[in-house]
Amino acid sequence: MARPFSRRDDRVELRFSANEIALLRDLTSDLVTRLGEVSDAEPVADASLRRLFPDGYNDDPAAAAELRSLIQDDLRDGKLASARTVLETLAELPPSGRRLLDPDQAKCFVGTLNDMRLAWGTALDVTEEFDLGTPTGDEAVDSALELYAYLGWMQECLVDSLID
Amino acid sequence: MKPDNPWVTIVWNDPINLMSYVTYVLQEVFGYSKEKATKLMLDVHHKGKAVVSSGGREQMEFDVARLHAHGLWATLQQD
Repeated sequence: MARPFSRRDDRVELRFSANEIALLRDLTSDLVTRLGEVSDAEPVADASLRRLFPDGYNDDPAAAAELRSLIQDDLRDGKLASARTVLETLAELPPSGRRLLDPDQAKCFVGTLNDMRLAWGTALDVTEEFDLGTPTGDEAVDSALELYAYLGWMQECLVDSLID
Repeated sequence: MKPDNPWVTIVWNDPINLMSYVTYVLQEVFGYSKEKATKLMLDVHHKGKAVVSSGGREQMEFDVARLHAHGLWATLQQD
């Protein structure tokens, strides 16, 4: 499997197959829809998105609520802007599926991949000891775990390219 | 408690964020060297948490917001 991201001098080159483009587009569109439902200041209703909007204070619910009311709208809008940049970049890819990303686009991809993994990982309830290679016996869960592992590999390739 | 530096930002371990990504974010957000960012990431991974910055309360709220923007699990508290 070709690496989806690699370093080219001081830039990141994206190289996606048609399947990867379609997959990322679907997952990113889904993320945009769900982020759009996050309110400006209320705790997040969508359980798998809560990890994207954690409390800023552990032992002070009033301070946590106040901070949330100050930052959650910007936090949501920043994540939405990144995801939309990913969608635009995917829509403009040439037939080869290859292009150089500018630094801002690369940051949008790494942030959006991370947001997706946080949402999937939370929904799948992954733990530190989780062995992604061991089938659970539940077909739906196993294919979701396979996708989660795949997104992790994709993100690892991109981080490697960014910090080279 | 140091009166001039009473607040800290803490990053907590989580099973989802990649170790390489946590290092990348700490370099990106705080401008830390790769060595310092890697050391903090390993503290998070092995000890469950690490203090990544300290200062006034408003500055720490700003740091927490920036870490949340990158998907890290961060909180602030009085040292």
